[in-house]
Amino acid sequence: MTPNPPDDLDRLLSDFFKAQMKNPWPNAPLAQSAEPSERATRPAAPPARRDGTVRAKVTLAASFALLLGTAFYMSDGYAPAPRPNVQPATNGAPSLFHGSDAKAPKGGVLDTIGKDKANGGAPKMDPSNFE
Amino acid sequence: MPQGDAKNAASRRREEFEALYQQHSREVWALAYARWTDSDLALDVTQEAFMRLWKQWEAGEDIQNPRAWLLRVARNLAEDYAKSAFRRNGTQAPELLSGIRSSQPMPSDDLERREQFALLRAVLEELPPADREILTLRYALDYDANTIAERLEIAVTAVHMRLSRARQRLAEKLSSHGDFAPAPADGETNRQ
Repeated sequence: MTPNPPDDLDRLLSDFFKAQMKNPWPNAPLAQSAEPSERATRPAAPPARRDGTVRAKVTLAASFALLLGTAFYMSDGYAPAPRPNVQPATNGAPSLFHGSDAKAPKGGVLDTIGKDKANGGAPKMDPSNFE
Repeated sequence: MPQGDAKNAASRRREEFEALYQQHSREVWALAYARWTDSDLALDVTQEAFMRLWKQWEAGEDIQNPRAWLLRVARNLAEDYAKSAFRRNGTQAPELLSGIRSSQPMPSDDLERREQFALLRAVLEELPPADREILTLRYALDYDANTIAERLEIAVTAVHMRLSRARQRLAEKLSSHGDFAPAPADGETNRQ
């Protein structure tokens, strides 16, 4: 590709610009109503849009059905499995669950805090103890 | 007004519109093409500009200078394209990325020519818009210096100078790609 200027540059420019122009030149826009422009008649575009719409609807329906199925399964759709009758481990202390007669064990943390409060609060820290 | 007269008036207006299209559409296209070096976009701009002219006529507007009106509308449309989301996102049709319009496939044995065109397009895009405009008028529309001077409303000597400089810049850029030797500054006068 080593053309000799200026004639070859002229020729190259002329050929290039001529190639850019439609041949034949399109009609005036109003005359094209029965003969749409090239861009408007790209074959794949409209069917592709329709296909995309249908695919989206099918996907949405499948997702919705899956959601409904899951909800049905998780609720009353099937009998729940029997739960094991196991009491919570409390080491002999009364249960703390709702409806039980639970009491905090004597000598626990709450007792210690209650005594501290009665004595005027928690013991003050002595900064000299920290080196 | 009788119905026949209205029909004749519409027919005359239609003929006038067609004549304007034949007379000015290529120049409108050239202006838009010089802006974006996109043939299909330039054609869309051209068609839109003429559609707007027709609508103006339909609305009863009196346009004194249709050519100037069309060129102004086309220029605005081409600039509006720059602000569009499509352009802002830097998305271009694949056929533009290759540098060659896919709507006009070339023979497979013309690969070198395709490469030349792709390079030329890339180099044209690097030129100032005024250079692209004058080169498009000269080589796409085959306008001579007098016609270009009339169209751009500049002196004929200015046309020669601008065309010569545009060619020179183009040749230098092509040369920088190792494919072209710079053209003489007065090379374009050979075609006058």
